[in-house]
Amino acid sequence: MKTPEKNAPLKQNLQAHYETQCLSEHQLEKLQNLATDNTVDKNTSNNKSTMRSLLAVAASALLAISIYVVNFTGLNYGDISKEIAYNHNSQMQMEVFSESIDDIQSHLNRLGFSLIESAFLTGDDWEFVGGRYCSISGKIAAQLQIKNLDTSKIYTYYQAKLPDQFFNLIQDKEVSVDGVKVKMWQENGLLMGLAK
Amino acid sequence: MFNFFRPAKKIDFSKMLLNDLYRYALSLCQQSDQAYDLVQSSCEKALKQGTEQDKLKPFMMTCIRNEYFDLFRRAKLSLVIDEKLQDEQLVNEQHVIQQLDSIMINKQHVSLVLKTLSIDERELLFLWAVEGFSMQEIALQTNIARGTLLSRLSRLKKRLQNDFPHLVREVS
Repeated sequence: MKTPEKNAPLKQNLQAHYETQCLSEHQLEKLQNLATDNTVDKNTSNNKSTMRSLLAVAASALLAISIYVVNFTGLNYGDISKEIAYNHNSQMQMEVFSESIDDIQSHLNRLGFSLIESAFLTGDDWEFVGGRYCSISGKIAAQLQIKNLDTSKIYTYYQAKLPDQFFNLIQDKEVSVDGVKVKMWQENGLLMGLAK
Repeated sequence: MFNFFRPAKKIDFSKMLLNDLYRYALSLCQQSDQAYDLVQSSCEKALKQGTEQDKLKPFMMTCIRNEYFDLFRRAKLSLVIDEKLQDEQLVNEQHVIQQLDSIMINKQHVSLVLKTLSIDERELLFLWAVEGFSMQEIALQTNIARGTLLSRLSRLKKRLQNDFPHLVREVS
């Protein structure tokens, strides 16, 4: 740096005077770090806000699913169990009498699904009596009569095709409607009901 | 949330910029600690504002100026002189600048002279001598009428010659 002469124009000496005034390295570093910290803070804050948004979206999705499950699976239990209890109390005449599920199936050939032997009602303890068409929630269903061989009690047993949207959403449920105990469960894509 | 998709503006405070700002702050307050605080505050404001890099210096200079004058006004009730009343006589810019350029001063006496000047005068000299601003640019930066600035310089020159005849000389 050129040192100004002792007597120099005011402008020149003012420049020289201010040129000697500098921030220390430590001060410069501190000020420059403000920009770095600010970028890091912004990124962190962006990450945090994204995280918060994702959590909010996840919570909303969970809430929506819960509402969907409660409304679409829960409410049908009430309606279906009422229909099952009503059919059970009506004691309607069976259209076909047979101990064989195949015979009942061949008679009820407009069901649109195959009747199954439930894993919960094993062959040794239970025996089919007969069957007829009925409807559950406006859908065609099979109303079967089944006898418990131990107690000789007759139960009304229902099988209906489960709508796709309820697949794996129906949980086992047991309710009591008009003095009738109704047990419902899902098996092989069918909605099963047992009234006693 | 949308800020996430918006890239953060990268602001770079170069050493040269920071030192220029520090000198400007120093021209106002004449205290190194306060000058540093003013620069730091202007850095924070620039970051908060997301100021574009090419507009950084004028923006930060304005921040420093505003903050200092706010502090100064709070700290001290100063006598306000309506300089417009004193500017009846139109001053020629070239003439005033020539007069200033003709002033010779000893390097060692610069800081002594600066201490006797008002904030406005120090700022004016800094922007003219160090930043190399024209009177029009200084008027824009300080929001003071160009005529007022010229009058101020003219009076300043006279005062320097009167107050420091042994320190300041005029060359013909």
